[in-house]
Amino acid sequence: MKTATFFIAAALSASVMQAQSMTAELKGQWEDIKANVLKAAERMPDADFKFKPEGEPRTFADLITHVADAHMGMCGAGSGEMKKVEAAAKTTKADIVAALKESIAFCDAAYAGLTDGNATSAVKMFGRDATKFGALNMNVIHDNEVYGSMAVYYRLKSIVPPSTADRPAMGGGKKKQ
Amino acid sequence: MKKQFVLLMMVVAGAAGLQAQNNPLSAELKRFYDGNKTNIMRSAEKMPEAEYSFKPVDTVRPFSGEVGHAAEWAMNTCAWAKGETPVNPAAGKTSKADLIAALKQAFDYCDPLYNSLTDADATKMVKAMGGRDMTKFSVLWFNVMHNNETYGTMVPYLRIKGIVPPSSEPRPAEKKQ
Repeated sequence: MKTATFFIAAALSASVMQAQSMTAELKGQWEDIKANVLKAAERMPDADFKFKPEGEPRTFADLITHVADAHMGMCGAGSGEMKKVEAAAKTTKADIVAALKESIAFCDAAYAGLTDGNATSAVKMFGRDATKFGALNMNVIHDNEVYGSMAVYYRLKSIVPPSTADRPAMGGGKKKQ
Repeated sequence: MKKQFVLLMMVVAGAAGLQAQNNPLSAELKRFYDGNKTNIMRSAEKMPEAEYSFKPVDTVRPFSGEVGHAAEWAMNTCAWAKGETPVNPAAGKTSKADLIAALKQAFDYCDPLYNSLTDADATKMVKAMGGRDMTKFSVLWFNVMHNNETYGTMVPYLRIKGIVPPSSEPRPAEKKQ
């Protein structure tokens, strides 16, 4: 199992680092962050979906549903097809994870449709002018921001976040994220 | 004198608009970088000095470590994009004043790269992350993505200390209400 994880992680890193164009690099980064976000949702125990640190207004479930709904907005802008999963209305882990998976599938299609030729096509994202590339780029940037918060929730529940738990041991030491 | 100033401003604004029009991807990246830079810097400023050693749980960095980490990686990525050798501006720094200075040093180093980047220049290959070939755009974009992840990590630290994160502060129009 550990070996399989090592090869998957190595392959993902390679997909990012050996990419030959900006769109290929973006697609590689999407593959990495979507895996981390999905694993974070799947691995958090059902009971802890309602957990939130003291002072934080958002529960863990809120972080996941926020990501899922944001996927639909930004990938919708990137693909030109507007759809919703209404993740914020879901309450159980099963329903929330299902909504997240649906949003990821929606985004996968948007990234698949991105090419070097259409990257600079003009789109509207939340009412603002953007490029197709920019909308899909912002989606990855935003996922990373929310994943950064998820990692703290994980640590507070004494669980190692997926990005650290699944990282191949290279040169010793894991980052505390 | 006033007329000359207005004319100059119009020329500058026109040139900036033309730059964005001709370089849509670079202009978007700069906008993302500017927004994220502000959030990181404002977080560092808003956290009280006494809370720089705070960490929500023993398995994560103290807040000071997150600020230092952001400064170090901003410097790393921008040095790679410039073809220079990175020097960690936060090395050995623990006080709020020193870490904010390190962050400012890193952003001052990065700013000219984002300000002068063109879409044509963005596709040039540079060596990053241990000698891997990446586009200049991807390296500068990685900086934004990584900073946003770090900002996402800072958010629960701020919330736990009863501080509203910069990205959630009321916008100017909302403040008037």
